[in-house]
Amino acid sequence: MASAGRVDKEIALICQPDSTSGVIAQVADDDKCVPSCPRGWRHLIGTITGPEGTPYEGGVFDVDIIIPTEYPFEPPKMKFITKIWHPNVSSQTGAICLDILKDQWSPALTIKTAMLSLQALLCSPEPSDPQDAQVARMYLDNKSEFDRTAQQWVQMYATPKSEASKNEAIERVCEMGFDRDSAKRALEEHKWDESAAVNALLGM
Amino acid sequence: MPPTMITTTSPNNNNRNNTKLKIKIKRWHGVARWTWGVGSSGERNNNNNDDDMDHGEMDDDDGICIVCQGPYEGAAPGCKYPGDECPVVWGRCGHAFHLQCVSAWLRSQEQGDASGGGSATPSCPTCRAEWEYGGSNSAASSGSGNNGAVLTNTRGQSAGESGS
Ligand SMILES: [Zn+2]
Ligand SMILES: [Zn+2]
Repeated sequence: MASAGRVDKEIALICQPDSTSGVIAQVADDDKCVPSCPRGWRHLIGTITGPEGTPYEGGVFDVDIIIPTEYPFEPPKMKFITKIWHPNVSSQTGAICLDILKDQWSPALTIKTAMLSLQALLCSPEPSDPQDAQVARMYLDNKSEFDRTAQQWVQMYATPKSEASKNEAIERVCEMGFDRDSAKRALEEHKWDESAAVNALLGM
Repeated sequence: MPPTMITTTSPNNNNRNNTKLKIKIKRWHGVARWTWGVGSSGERNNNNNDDDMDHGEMDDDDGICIVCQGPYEGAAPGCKYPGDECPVVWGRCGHAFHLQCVSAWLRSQEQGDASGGGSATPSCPTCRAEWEYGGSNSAASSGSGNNGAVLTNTRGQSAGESGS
């Protein structure tokens, strides 16, 4: 039996601006009617600030958070929406390998503590238990190349875009023969990843 | 309704005439309070005098069942009424939860095992120690060999028993 009271309380808490923790969430548009999920499942979009002193510093990472009806007896389902180069996160799908989101979950944990654990995972990757073997190998074999790649990915995917650079991206996509409105929409949908937006526009 | 206490302090001042105030109590409400005696809130209320009653457990995480995040003295999700219908139980590790809350967790761990995931032994939500009923609010006195949960209220009386 799930406790709706606890979920509502937690959502109110995690959606409050909190400048110290670097984690926050907002309720997703399709909350309670998430496609391919049972009715009533809650849907949040979390945001994690890249910790200082890591290659992720300066990045802002969106995390998809689904809260099943069985919560808190089942863990929340989390995955990165923003692409990230990290041994414990799939560079393709954003799937996360973190024990507390799987067999080490406990109902004493909360959405907020889970997000803080994700943030801690950015500080201390665990390449011995990788989600992405290729990334983990680079982390172990060539740390400086790993750091460089992680930083590049932050710049490409996780840096909040200025209006000017958004407009430039729209222009570039328009030049490929798409109208401005659909270019803008596709870019917004794909977090300003130009090639992903163009692929979507081409129906690929 | 909170109890209202009317006290008068007549000024002990010799320079003035002593004015004696007369008070007639017309009506009074008896207000009782109970707790499961969990954590520091219970102990504190037990030991201290009534002045401390206002600084109760609500502003203290110790008064909260960590599973449903509701107060121990309230009803857990799925329970209609607080109290004996929704008892608090202790594990041998000394951590306390609503009976309904911890048993829902143990059940879901069992189901996790059946489907291949999950940890092998049922564990305490707070400390992950292997879960066994039978502790009490003072973890040191848990070796009583009593399998049922012993519940005590702040006054030290037995408030009820529950099996698992
Ligand atoms: Zn509870
Ligand atoms: Zn425990």
